[in-house]
Amino acid sequence: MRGDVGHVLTGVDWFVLVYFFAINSGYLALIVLAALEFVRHGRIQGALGYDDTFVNPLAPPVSIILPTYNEQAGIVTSVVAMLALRYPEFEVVVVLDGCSDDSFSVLQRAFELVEVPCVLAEKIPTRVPQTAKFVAAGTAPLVVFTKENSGRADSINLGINAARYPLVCMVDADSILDPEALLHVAQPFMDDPERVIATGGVIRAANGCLIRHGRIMEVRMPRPWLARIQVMEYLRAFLLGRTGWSRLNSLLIISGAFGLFRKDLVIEVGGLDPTCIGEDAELVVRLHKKMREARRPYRVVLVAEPVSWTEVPETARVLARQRRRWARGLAEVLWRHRSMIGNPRYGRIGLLAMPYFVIFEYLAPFIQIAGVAAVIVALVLGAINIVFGVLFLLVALGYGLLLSIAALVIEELSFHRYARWRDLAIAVAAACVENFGYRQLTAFWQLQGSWAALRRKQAVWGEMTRTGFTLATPADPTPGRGGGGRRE
Amino acid sequence: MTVAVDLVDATAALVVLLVALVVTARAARLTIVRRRDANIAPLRQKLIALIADEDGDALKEFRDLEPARWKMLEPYVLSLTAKLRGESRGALIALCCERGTLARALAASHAARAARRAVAAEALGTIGTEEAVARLGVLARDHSSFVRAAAVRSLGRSGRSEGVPTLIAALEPDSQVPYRFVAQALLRLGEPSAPSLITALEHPHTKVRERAAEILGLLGAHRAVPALLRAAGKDAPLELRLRALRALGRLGAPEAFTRLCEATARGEDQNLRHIAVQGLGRLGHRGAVPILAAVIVEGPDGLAATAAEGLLALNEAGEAALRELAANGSGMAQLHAQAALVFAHRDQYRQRAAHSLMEASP
Repeated sequence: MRGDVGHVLTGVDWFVLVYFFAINSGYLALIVLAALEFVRHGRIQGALGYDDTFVNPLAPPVSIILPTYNEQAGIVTSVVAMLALRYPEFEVVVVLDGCSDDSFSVLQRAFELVEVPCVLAEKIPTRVPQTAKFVAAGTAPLVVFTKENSGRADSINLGINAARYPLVCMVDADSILDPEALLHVAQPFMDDPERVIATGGVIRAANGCLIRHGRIMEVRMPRPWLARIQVMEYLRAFLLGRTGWSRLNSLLIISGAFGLFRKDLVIEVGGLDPTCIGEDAELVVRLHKKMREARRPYRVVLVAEPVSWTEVPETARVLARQRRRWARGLAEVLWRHRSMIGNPRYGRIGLLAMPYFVIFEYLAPFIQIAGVAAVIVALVLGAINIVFGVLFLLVALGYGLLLSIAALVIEELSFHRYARWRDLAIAVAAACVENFGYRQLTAFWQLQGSWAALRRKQAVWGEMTRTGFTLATPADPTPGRGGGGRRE
Repeated sequence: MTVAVDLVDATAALVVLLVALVVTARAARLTIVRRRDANIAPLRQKLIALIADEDGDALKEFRDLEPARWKMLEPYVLSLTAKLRGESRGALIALCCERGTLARALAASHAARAARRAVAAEALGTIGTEEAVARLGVLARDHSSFVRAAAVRSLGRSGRSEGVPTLIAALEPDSQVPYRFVAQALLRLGEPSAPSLITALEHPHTKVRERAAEILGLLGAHRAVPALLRAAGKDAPLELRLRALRALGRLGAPEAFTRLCEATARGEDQNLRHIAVQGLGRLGHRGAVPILAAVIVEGPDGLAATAAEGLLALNEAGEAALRELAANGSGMAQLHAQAALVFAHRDQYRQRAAHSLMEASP
């Protein structure tokens, strides 16, 4: 009996070992692709012509949509920073999603808002049609809508209906954009106007950075280890992972914290789905589906240069909620578009990206947790020897560590945003520390999220507690909730 | 067991190696930046003095500068040259030619790597000599789309009309250069590109005609009005009509009034109506008032809002029509008129709101 159990456990362990090796090799492949992209980018940097775009009368104008919920403390700073972005022509559309704080009052005071009759063509159906529209009394291209609370996706849909320009940029109200971010993220629309349908910027952690008047003045590592580890995680997953997918033209996720889309196409596919918790990824997958089915040539691009800085959770409770929601969102997206998985009709998306997300993203926490448990049981029962245990540990932890450090090498050679030696040392330490407890915990939270999706438990955004940016002025800590603008 | 130990050792060694690489890369970068800054900082000051014509000896100093230091300074000189006009620009270009920058850029424009050719194109555009422009003409047909785009942008920056034929050719879709770059380059060259663009309105390729029409509008080339009116004729392809009408609206050409009025008719394409309504607003013709008012009443919403904005541009007569609609119009027309009026006079509304607040306060 014990022998049979041992055989089963050994089988499971070998499967998990091969799985871990494959998943890490997948990450490595994406990192290599990203590195190639950065090398190319570095070489051509002097000839990208951003300054030309800034003065080009034909640069496509952009409507920046800023959904927000109870961001009273930071909303004015955020809007001022958005209005100061370097771009030829744009407007800022703020949608106050049933705010119960003084968000509207502070905006009204700061920009002397004047109410104008609201006439909105409902190109995308919205849940709350009753809205009030305000415009800035001065020359600032600012429009503010107030409405009942109906969630972030619905607020963005309203913003899209109100948008005047052909490109819509979705930004979280608490995100801080680099001054040139819009210019850079719109560049692919200039370079390849016929094919580019959406672009995304890289998201980095703002915790610990020196911030003045809604601008990042100095990039620094945060103090809490949980946030430090996430800096490395964002670097590996958002910067390198997504750049790798972008190079394969198989990018499935453009973060809602900073993404630029062709408005006509977003309207054509029906806008964001308010019933989906991973609405950003869902929209991108729907766009892929639409374009592939219509056999129209297209590109979805991630631009590594423009950066949107966002606050990452600093407590385990908030992080757990975020990861559960991400896992749940992914599960929902994959389930809704299951017909695309493995379907040659959808090209690389169906045959490569979506199967990858099923096998190495959705199933990963299940297999990770099962694998660790199986190895421990097998070691206790003596079903596997110590060599296997070491091998397992090496693949699970060593390969992961190697990938994190490789990501750091690429960051240092390409963008080198963290200028202080101390921060570099902290980054290396964080890459080591994350292997002991953090990865296992996040896998567990993801498992919970995926399980909730399987049980079709009702999605709840939950209370998001922000600690505020370290040296922020005047963005102080405010409690918020994911419903409107906030994205953890 | 040995295999596992070897693997652990190998992984650890790789991690250490990568960490060492990070540290070395940073140290090397910082050293290079520090050395470059130390070398360049005083030279930058001298360069500013040179273009301000404050330091007569500076030119000689730059001529005699050792090659390694010039190489460090060169990108800065080029970027400064691109921002200048007149004599100062000429002086820096002459200096660049003397120091071999032009020769190096010409040589680099033959490099195997596309990135090098593109960077060379940027330099050639900044220098903008006859030789440089001729080479840019070749690079505008490079097999790399990236190099072609850089060459086209640079042709515009060169400011030399010799580049116009190349740019007109780049308007053809086969050239695969983003249209916006070509348009910007032609706009930068200004009025000298207008005759060729007017001729391009007769080009056999419809796409070229459409693009030429749009650029002429942006260029403000009033002499193109007769040709644009022909291009905006009812029998012309829709996209060409659309762009020609937009150009006529931008030019504010009174001769275009009839054409624009025709295009607002109900049976016409929605985009065309939209552009015509915008154009009528820009034209400032009083005769447009009843037409725009009718559009507000008929809708649809997007078009009505544009028509309301158009009426505002027609000053008193337009505003009177809007007031009439705001007071006596029905449904959406009334709302559109009110929205346009509030937006136009938002400053007064703000003051009135502040005044009523003050009155309300104890």
